[in-house]
Amino acid sequence: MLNKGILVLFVGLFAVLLFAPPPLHAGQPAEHRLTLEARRFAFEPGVIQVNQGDRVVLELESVDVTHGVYVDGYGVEAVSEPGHKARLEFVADRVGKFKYRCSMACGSLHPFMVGELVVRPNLPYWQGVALALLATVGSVAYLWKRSLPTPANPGLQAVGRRIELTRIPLLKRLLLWRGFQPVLMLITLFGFVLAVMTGLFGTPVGSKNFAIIFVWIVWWALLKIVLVPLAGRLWCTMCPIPAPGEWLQRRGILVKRGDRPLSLARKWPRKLDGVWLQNAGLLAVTIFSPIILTVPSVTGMVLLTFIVMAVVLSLVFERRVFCRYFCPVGGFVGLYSLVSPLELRVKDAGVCRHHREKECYLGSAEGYGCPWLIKPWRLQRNAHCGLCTECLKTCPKDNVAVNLRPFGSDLFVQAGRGLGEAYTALIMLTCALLYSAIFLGPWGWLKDWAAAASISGRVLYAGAFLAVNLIVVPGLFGLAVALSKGLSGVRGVSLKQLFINHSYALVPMGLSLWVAFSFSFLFVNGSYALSVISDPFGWGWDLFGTRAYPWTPYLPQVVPYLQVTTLVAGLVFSIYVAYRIGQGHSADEGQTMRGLIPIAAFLAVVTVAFLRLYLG
Amino acid sequence: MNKQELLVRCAALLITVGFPVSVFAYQHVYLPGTHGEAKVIDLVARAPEAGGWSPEIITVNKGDTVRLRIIGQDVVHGFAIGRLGIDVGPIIPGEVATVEFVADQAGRFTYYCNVWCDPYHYRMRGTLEVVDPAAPDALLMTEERSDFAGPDIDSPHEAEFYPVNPPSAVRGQALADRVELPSLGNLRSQSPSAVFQAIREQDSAASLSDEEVWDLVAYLWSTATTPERLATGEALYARNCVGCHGEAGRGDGPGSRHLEEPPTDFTDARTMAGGSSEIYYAKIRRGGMGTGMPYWGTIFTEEETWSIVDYLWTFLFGEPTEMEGLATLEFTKDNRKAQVMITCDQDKQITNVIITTGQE
Repeated sequence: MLNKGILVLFVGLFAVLLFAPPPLHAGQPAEHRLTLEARRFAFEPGVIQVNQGDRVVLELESVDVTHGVYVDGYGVEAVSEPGHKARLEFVADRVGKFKYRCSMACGSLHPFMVGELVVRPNLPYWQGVALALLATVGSVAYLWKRSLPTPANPGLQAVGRRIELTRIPLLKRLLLWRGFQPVLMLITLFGFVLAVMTGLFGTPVGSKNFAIIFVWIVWWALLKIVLVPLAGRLWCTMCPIPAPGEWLQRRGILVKRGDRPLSLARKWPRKLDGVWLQNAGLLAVTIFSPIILTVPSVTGMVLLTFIVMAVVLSLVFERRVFCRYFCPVGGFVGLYSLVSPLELRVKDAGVCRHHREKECYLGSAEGYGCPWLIKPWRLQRNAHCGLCTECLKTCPKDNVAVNLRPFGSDLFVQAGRGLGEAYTALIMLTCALLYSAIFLGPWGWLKDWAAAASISGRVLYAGAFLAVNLIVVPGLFGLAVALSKGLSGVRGVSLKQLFINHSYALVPMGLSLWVAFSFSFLFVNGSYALSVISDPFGWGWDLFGTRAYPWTPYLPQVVPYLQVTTLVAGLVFSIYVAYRIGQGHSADEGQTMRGLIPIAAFLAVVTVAFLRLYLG
Repeated sequence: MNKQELLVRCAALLITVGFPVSVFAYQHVYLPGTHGEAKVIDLVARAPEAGGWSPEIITVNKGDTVRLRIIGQDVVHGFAIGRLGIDVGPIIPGEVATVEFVADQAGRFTYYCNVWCDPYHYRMRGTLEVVDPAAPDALLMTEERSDFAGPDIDSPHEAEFYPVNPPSAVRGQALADRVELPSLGNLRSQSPSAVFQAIREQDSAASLSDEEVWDLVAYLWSTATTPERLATGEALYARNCVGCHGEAGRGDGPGSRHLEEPPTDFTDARTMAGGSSEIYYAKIRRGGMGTGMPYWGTIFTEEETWSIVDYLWTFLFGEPTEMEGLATLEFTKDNRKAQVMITCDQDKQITNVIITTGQE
């Protein structure tokens, strides 16, 4: 009865907020005439607020180099050479926030030179915020009323039913073929070699360089929006970076040879086990991202460094030490792969217990021992399994399967949790927040700071960036966890352990933040890929006749709606995960629910912060 | 080694070694062989602070068909070659703009960026040397700065007399018959201030107000040019001068932010009325010593320079738009002549109708 009442109440509120006619705008439409000053890499003013129906007349005045302005959703554009003003006129008849962006390449941070036009009443924003808050309250209320049964051991038990994909004969044959991974790697290696070449020798203009467009727009968006959410570490199956090192180490590509590897085959020191190296690498890359993401030669150098590192580490250490301990992408892909519905697992642990040969770890004539330093019979979570399919090939008992499973299954597994991964989750969340503010926001001073040329400026930026990543956001999250502990009265679990446990609730949200972030540049800048594919170096080639394809933002007005949907979905998922995690360390349902409230509040605040950045 | 292994090893080698080698071979060995007769030169455009033109000197033989591939590498630049009438327009970063011409004139020519790109934009210049193989030593030296020893162009020339309100050449023309104009000689060497004074001193001008005398001066200046020349001057000004002097001539272009001494404000009547066409001509060609004004003698032809000077006077004597759509009708009947002159502005609004009658 109460359940139904709550449901009706929420649906009603929801409907009113989403479908209520917008408040009629009182007063006559005004005309806004203003000079829009453009300098690298910001507009002045950075935010323009008007009311629906107002006429906007912009005089674009570039003061340093040639800039353009393009208004999302309105599709109007003007270009101003310094000294020549350009005029832009339109009636602001759509409500919401629209970016106006520089439409003429003007230097490294050009793709991030944006301002914001807010046409009031900004209904999409308020609807988004209402939706996020309703979703928070609704989810908590639902979990409270439903009281989902606590699984006896959420770690080992299947959280849902699995569908074994390796039952499909064709797929199984493909995965057992030694050429499966190498052929994928050869394909991506081709792209990788092209990216390094274009990065180092192509045009320094990012928007016309294959390296920048295909690494940071096409690959990145594909990774974040498709591969990781749907297939976890599937990228690691085909990643070309470890390929040359691994092939050298194995003295062959397809063949399985019995002789000693071409490597000193040192063991990785136990002391350095964990993801802290990857966290450090991730922070290093993100601190320099304003340069790495925009300067082709730097992208080329970074890619080259990665592959050289991977080769050297293959020759010194056994297996894939680079992937497991160094690759900064591997760190967060591993964490987010906990969410993905794809997994590789042994079918029956009992079979392994009685089988002493352990070919899956030691290797056999059919294949190599796990390159990722995993003991497959103990594998419970995706984090470090690179889906290389070697164990499928080596297991003589046919006891390894690739499964489809419910999203997020691994988040409830307690074994393997650690402070390192907690920090990966927090760093990724914080970086999404900082990137959204620095790159997608209208604040020129932030961009100036991020791209600071002086040593002192850079050090200051790096310091602030690190402080927010390592202290501020973890501190705020720690506060929420402490509140959760106090409110719930959980005993016998340290604050540190609770901090670690709850950080896994940030994983679905973090992933959704990155998906939302990726939407913003994929739709707006995806069209560069068409021109770059015909002229990857910017040398004037026209391989497929698409070189002259102009920069065309696709449906930029749809992006905010996709972002709201993604963010709210991530929020609801995260609250559910927080609840399930809470069940793992709470004595009863009351403790779980009381402990959930501060965490849900933290998640809601993060979501609203993003809505503010994207839509507000 | 089995066949499959051999195959993938070959593929790996092709991708990591064969592919890069063939790309560079195609670009640097094969492509240059396909250009035929044309001499193809890659010219990289970077802002002066990042290196400017590369190369800065291009040498070709007289008679060569030259194909320049201009490659923008940072921000929007322009490309033009002075005295050859070549202007490619904006060079979009990351794109390759191509221009082809026959170098049929021996000599040194200046190519330069004509889209403001940097505080040192005006240093973005290079030299095209067209050598006559028959007389390789006779590479003509283009005009040097020292050629402009004519008028004293460096001392201030503040006007004694200058118009308070914008004068009108159209009104001035109507007055021209009423006044006996003094013999003025070559107008190009006179300042408006001096001409005003000369007319003011005429007895026949005694009944005219100062404003009317300025209208007359404006009329005299308008007779010394043609609409075509003003159009040329306006286009050259827009392409080359607005960077510092601004679209409206007020000396407020984006380049002015980087200059200690502000660029000349052509709308300042006191300054303008004190100078002569010859002074402005010389300043443009030689550049302003000690100021940010670059020299244009190696870029503009003499005729082009005079066109710009003529256009500069419109900042003092009225916008050229007022002259637009100027129509003159003449009627003659029984030895009597009537002339109707109609002017309108850009919006096709009639600004003035002047009817003059007289005996033929």
